[in-house]
Amino acid sequence: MNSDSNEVVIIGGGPAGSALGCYLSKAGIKNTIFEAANHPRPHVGESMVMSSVRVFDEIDFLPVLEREGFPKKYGASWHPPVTKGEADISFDEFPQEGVNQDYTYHVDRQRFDLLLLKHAESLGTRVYQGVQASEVLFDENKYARGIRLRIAEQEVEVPARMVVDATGRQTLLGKQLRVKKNDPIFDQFAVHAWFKNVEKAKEKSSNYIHIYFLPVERGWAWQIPITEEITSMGIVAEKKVFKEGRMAPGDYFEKYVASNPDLAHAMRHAKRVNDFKLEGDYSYKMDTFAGNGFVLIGDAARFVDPIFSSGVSVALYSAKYSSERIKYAFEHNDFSEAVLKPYEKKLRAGTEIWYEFITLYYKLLPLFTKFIESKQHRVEVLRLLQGEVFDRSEVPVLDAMRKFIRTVEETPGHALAPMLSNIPIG
Amino acid sequence: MSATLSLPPKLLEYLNESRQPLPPITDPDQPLQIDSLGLIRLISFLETELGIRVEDEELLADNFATARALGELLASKSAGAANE
Repeated sequence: MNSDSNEVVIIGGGPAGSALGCYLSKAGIKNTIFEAANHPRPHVGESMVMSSVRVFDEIDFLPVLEREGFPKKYGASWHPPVTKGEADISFDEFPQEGVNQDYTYHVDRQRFDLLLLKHAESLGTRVYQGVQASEVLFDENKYARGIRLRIAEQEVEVPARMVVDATGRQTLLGKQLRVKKNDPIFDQFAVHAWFKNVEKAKEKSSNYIHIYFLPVERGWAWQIPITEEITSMGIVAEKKVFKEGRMAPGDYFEKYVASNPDLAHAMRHAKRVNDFKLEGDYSYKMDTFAGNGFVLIGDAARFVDPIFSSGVSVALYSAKYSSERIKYAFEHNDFSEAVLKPYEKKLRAGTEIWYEFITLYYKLLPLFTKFIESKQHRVEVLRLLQGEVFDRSEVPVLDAMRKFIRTVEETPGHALAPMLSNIPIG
Repeated sequence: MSATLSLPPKLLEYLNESRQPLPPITDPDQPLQIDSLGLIRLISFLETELGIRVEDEELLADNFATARALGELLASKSAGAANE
């Protein structure tokens, strides 16, 4: 496992690390991925937004997705609590520049992550699996210059010109540098499993992601097609809802399936095909995403609530934008924080837009439906839902949402006032 | 149908359909029982189908409590429009 001290070491071979491997290999920059698990390994986060397609195209991964036959995702649909009915969006309503198809994908993450890792390898990335990194090493000038690995109970030091933390929610470097800040608001919890015989909705939306609102604070359920037969189903709510319920995961799951009429209908003949999995999902961010000789990408940098399927897109764009700065660093032989920081600025601005959108969404659930169904705002909401959050100087629709919430808060007797949650919106 | 229900027929039809399985509205003072999402849909219906725009400030619980209240809101709006 000799590593050249003039290459990039990427810790983690999930979507962020693998996509970065692809970008760097295509640019002729030597890079190695050290992945702790042995792929395939299970992972939650199976639905994607449209903006991901642009990155897949850039790294020549679209033919793989097509060849493997992942379900095509043409849109998204929301189902209200208590009453029946749905509000949906279709991606072809708002074509995106640089995206030549009107769908993205739902993926079995075991297969998808392995394929992307193999794709990076095929482009020239060296890949080692089953190798756990324990620490990022810094030199006397406080530049990251390598990593420490644990292999068969032995510790090995691997030198590098640059280190990338793509360890996902493990957040290796964020913890080591003590720059991780847990979000004070979002502490969500998911119980999920795969099912067969889930009843598909009407034809048009049969391959959409379906989101069901649940009659509990910040509660919702996902329905994501994985294959023709198998559907991923998950119940999400605040962690305290699960804890205080003191129920077995299966009973908890059943209880909330029954709480939404459309969801109960979709699940009436469903049979579970694997074990329930539990997922703590609290949101967090690092104080810094880039420093001397290192960057943090994907979930290792920032994690926001998964309601809008943003995770893989953020991972892919963090890879894209960090690769641009890493290329610049190699061209100028300058790996300083100043050179890498523009990546952080770009990623942070984009993820903050996601975060703001998510916060406003949870602040007043009917607001989302109102804006989706409004002639004036629909296209702008769609744009956000498709993941167009990067390189934007302003997002007027978020201001309009804030204004609407203020009106609800300040107008005595407003019909939607009882629906306001206690989330601070700044 | 009661003559006191002064709502446009198209709107009344929409209200009756969307409140199923509840029975159709006959009494102008019976509660409409519209939930928040139902209200959002109603606003959207008024705007797209009847060309009536309800301002955010007018989404008061009282304005949508009964058919009579809703009728009064709409009447005040068309009176306002006529004066413009």
